[in-house]
Amino acid sequence: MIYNKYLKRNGMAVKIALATINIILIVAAITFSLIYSTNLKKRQEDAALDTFFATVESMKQISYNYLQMELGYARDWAKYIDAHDMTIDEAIDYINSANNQNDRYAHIVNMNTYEAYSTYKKNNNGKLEFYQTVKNEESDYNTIFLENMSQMFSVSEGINILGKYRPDDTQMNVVSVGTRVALDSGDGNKYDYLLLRVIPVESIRNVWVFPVEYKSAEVGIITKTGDYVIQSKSMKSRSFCDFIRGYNFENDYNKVDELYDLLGNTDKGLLIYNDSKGEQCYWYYSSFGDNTGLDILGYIPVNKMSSHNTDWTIVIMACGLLFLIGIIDGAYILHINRKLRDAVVTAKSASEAKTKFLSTMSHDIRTPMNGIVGMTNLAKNNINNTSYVRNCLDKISLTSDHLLTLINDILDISKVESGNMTLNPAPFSIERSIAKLVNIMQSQIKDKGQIFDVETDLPYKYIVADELRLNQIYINILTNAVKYTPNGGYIKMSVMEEAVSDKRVKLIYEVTDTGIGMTQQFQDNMYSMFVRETDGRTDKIQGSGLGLAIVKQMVELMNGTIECESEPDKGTKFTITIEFDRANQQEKDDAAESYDTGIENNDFSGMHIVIAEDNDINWEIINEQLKMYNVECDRAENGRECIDILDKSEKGRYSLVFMDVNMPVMNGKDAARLIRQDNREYVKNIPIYAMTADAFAEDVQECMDAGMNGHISKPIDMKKVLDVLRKVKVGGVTIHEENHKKKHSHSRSSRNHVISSGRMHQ
Amino acid sequence: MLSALAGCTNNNNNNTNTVKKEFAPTLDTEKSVSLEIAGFMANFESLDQVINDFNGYYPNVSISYEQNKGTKLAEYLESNEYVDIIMTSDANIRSADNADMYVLDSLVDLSKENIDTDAIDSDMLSACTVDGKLARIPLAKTMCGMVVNKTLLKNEGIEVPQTYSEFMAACEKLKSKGYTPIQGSKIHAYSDMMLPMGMAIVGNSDELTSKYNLKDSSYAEGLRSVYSRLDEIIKKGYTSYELNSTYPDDNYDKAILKFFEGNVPFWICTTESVSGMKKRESKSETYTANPFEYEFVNVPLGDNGVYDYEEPWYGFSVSMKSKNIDYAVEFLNFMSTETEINKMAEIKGMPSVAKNSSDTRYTNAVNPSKLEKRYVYNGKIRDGITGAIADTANRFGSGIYTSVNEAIEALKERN
Repeated sequence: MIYNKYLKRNGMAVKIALATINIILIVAAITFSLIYSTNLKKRQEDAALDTFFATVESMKQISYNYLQMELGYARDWAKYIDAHDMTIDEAIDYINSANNQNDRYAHIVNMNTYEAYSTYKKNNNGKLEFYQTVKNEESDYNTIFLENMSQMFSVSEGINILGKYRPDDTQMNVVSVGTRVALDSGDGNKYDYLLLRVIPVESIRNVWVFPVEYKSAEVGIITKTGDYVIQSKSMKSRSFCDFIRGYNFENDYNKVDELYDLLGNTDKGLLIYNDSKGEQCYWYYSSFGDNTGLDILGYIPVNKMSSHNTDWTIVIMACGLLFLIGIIDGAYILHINRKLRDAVVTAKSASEAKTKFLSTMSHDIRTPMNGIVGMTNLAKNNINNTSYVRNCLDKISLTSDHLLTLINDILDISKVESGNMTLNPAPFSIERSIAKLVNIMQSQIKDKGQIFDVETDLPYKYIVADELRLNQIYINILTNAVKYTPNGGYIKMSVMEEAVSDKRVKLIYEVTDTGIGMTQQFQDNMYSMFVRETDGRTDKIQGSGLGLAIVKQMVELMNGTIECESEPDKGTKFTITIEFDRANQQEKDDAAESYDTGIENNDFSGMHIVIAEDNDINWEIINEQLKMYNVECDRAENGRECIDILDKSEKGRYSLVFMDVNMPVMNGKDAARLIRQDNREYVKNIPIYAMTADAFAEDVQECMDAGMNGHISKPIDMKKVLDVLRKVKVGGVTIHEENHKKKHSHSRSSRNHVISSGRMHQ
Repeated sequence: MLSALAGCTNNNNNNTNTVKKEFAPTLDTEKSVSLEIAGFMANFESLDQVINDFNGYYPNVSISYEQNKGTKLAEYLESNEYVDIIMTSDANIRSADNADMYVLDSLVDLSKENIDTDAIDSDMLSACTVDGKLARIPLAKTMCGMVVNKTLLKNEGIEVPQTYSEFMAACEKLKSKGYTPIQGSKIHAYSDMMLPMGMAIVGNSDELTSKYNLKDSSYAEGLRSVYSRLDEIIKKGYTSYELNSTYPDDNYDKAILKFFEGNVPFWICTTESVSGMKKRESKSETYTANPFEYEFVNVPLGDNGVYDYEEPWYGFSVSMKSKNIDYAVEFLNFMSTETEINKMAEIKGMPSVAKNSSDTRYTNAVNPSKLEKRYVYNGKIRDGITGAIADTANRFGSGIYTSVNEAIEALKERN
C-alpha cells in the first residue's frame, strides 16, 4: 500500500515535472522568439532611426543653405549700401528697389539706441519701436534676443538667426539673419547699424518636405536654450524645454535642467520624450554650427518609426504553433495515459482471468486426476479380482480421455487467444466428412438411447476448408447436444448447402435437441471461457467449459456465424453458417486420395524400430504396447545414442525411428538433422516420427524442419502409431504424400492426429 | 496642497440643471484641414488636450498653436491670414477707441454660428458679447484674491480670516511676529486686492453703474470705502511697496517660488497665478523639503466677509479671414461642451465657465455665509472700470497718491 502510494506520488511528480518541462520549453521558445523579434525590431528601428537622422540632417543642410542664401542677400545689400555711402533713407529706398521678393523685407537697427527702420511698405513712417521695446522689457527671452543681435552685429562669419518674433510693422512671425552695415549720418560720418533680412516663418516651413515614409515626422528649429525659432504643430508650448517639462516632468519641475544642459552643451543627440498626446516620441536635435546657437529638431512618434507587423506575425505564428504543439502533445499524452490506464485495466483483468483460469484448471484437472489416481489404487488393492480391475481400468481410461480433451481444449483456446490459430484450407469431401462425424457420434448416441435424425442436402460434395477445425466445430456442437439431452431424447443434425456463386457455397449446420436447454442469462455468457450451466441437471456432466468458446472463435475465424435458440427444459438449436470455396475436380481427387490411408493390418512381425526416449515409463508404455503388435523395439536414451544405434546397425535392420524431442545429451531435432546427413543411404532415409509432448503447431513445424517425417503427440494414441507402422510396412510414404503434406499440412496442429508423410528421397 | 473654501465660482446661477450633451460632428470627419490658433499663453497644455479629444472625431484636422502678443490683433490677423482662431481678452473686443487693442471687427459673430453654448454660464457669455455680437467663447473664469499659507497661520495660532476685522487682526499679529503679511508684485498686490471690492460695489449698484457708464465722475465717491481700507492696510504697514517691488511684475513664476519659500502669509494674486502653482511645487527646493498647506481665497475686505468678483478669462474667437471658418467654428462648438470646457479650465487650473463643474478647487473660494457682495461681470459696465480701479490702487500703493481723497479724485479724472 505504501509502495503504491509512493508510486502514485512518484507518478504525479513525474507528470508535474514533464508538464513543467513542457511549459518551460514552450516559454523558452516563445521567449527566444520574442528576443529574436525584439532584436530584429531593435535593428530595424536603429536602421530606421539612422535614416531618420540622415533625413533631418539633410533638412538641416537645406535650411543652412537657405539661410546662407538669405544672409548673402543681406550682405550684398550691406556691401552696396556701404560702397555708396547711403543714408538710412537712401538705404531703405535701395533695399526696396533691390528686393524682388515681396515677402522679404529689412530692418535697420541702431545698436546703440535700438531705434529701427523698416522697409515694410505698409509701415508708413519707416520707424519701428519693436527692438526698443525688447531692450526695455526685461525678460530672459529678450536678453537672449539682444545677445543674438549683438553677435550678429559683431561676428561676420557663420549664421545667426534672430527669432522667431513678431515685429510691429508686419505683425507676422518672422526670423531674421543680419550683418553689419555702415550708414552715412548725413554729416559725412559713418555709423554702423545692424541690417536684418526679415523672413516670415511660413516661408522657411515650406522649404521642408519630409519623405513619404515619414508622414508623422515634423521638423523645427530651436535655439540652444530650447526656444522655438520654427515650431511644428506637435511642438507645443512657448519653448521646447517647457513643452518637454509639461508632458514629462510633471512631478519634477527641475529635471528639465538636464535637457537644457544637453541642448546647450552637445551638438546632436536623440531624446525620447512624450508628446502632448502622451505618446513616446523621438526628438533628434543637431546643431547648425558653433556660431549659430541653433539646432534643427526632428520629431517622430516611436510607434510611427517603422512597421513591425511582420515581426509580430512571426512571433504570433511561433507562439501559435507552440501552443498548438502543446495542445497536440497534451492531447497525445492524455491519449497515451488513457491507453496506459486501459492497458493497466486490461492487464489487471488478464491477471484476474489468469488467476481464475488457474483456479478453474486446478479444479478441472484435479477432478479427473483424482479419478485416475483413485481408480488405480482401487485396482491395486483388488489386483486378484479381474473383473473389478477391468472396471477400474475402463473408468481410468474414460477419465483420461476427458483429461486429454480438457488439455487439448486449453491448447486450442490458448492458440486462439494468442492469435496463433491459423486455418489450413484444403479440398475435401464434406459428404464423407459428415458421414465420419455421424459414425463417430453413433456409439455415444446409442449408449444414451437417443433418437438421432440426420438430414443432409449437399449438392457440392467437395469444398475447400480446414476439415480438422470444421469437424472440431461440428463435433463440439453435436457432443454438447448428446451430453445435455437426456437418455431417450431427440437430436437432429442437419447439414445443407446453398450456392452463393459459381465458386462459393454456404454450408448451414444445424443441431436441434430436446435437451435441458439454457437460460437466457447463461446464453449471454456461454461463449466465454469456463462458463458452464451450474445446476443440478448438469453437475454430473463432464465438460471443460471451453468448447463453445473455441467453437465461437473458430467460426469467426472462418468468417461464419453461430446462432443459438434455447429454452430451459425444451431444448436447444445451434445454427452455424459458413461460406466456403467449392473445390474443382483435381482438388477432389487429391482430397479423396489424401484420406485413403491404406489397409487395416495390425500384425507387424519382424519389424524392428528404434525408440529414442529418455523417460523410462514412456519407454515402457510404448515398448509394451508395440510388443502386443509384434514390433521389436530398441531403446536409445537420447539423440546421440539413437544415431549410434543406427550407425552400428546393418543395412535394413530398422524400419522406423520414434524420436522424443526433449532429451539429455542430444535432443531429437538435432539428432534428426544429423541422421539426415548420414553417409549411409539406409540411415539417411530412415523414416523418423516425432513422439513428443510438444504439441503446438510451431513444435510440429520445427520437427518437420529438422527432417522428420511426421509428428505424434503425447499421450500417444495407438491408432495413430499403428497408422504409421502400417504405412512403413507397406513401403513407406509416397512422394505424392510428401508434396501434399508440404502443400497443406505443414503447420497443422498434430493434436491426436498424425501428420503423415513420406520423405522424398534425394 | 491647494485647498479651498466654500462655494464661489460655479453653480451660482439658475441654469445648473442642464443636461450634459454629447458632441455630434456636423462636418466631414475625414476631410484634411489645418487650423491655426494664435494666442498669448506661453504653455497651453489644456488646449493640447482639447485638441487631442477633437482629433478623436476629426482625425485629419491638424490644429497648431502659435504664441503671439495680445496687442494689435487686427493687424496681426490682417498680416497672418493663415490664423483661424485667435485668443482674445476682454480688452481686445471692447476697446474700440484703442486701435492697438481692438479686433472685434475682424471676428466672426459666434452667436450666428452653429455653436451650442448651453453648457456655459450665461453671464460669462454675456461678458463675451459686444453689441449683440458673441465675439469669443470664454476659456475659463478669473478671480482676484490671495493665497493663504495655512500652515504658517496655524503655526502662529491664527485662523484664516473671513472678515475685514479678522483680517486686520491677523495682519497685526503677523506683523508683530516679524512678517510682512500681504505681499505680491507691486502692480498686482494693490490692484488685485482691491478690485473685487470695487467691482462688487459698482456692479451691485445700478446708480454707480449708470453714473460710470454715463461718464459721471461722481461714481468714484461710491468707491471711497475701497481706498479707505487700502489706506489703512498701507498705513498700518501690513504690506510693503519695497518688498512688493522685489516681486516680478508678472507676479507669476518667481513670485510663486517666493511664496513657496514659506514665509509669506498672504500672497495677493489672480487665479491665473494660482494655476501655475501646482506644477511649480517641485521646482521649489524649499517647498519640496518642507511642504505646507495653502489655499486661494477672496480677500476679506468686508465687515461681514468677502467681496467676490469674477470675469471671463481669455476666450477664443474666429477670424473672419480664416479659410476654414466652418471647421474653426466646429472646434469651438466642441470646446463648448461641458466636458471639454471643464477640461480646459481644470487642466489650466482656472475656475470653469461651465454651468456644472466637478472641479472643487475653487468652489470653496468664497464662504457663502461670509459673503459681503458678489459681482459676476456681464458686460453691462462700460469698459475701463477695472483698469481705473486697479491703476488707482497701484498708484496708491506706490505712494503716488498719499490719501483717499487723492485716489478718488484721480478716479474721477480718469472717467
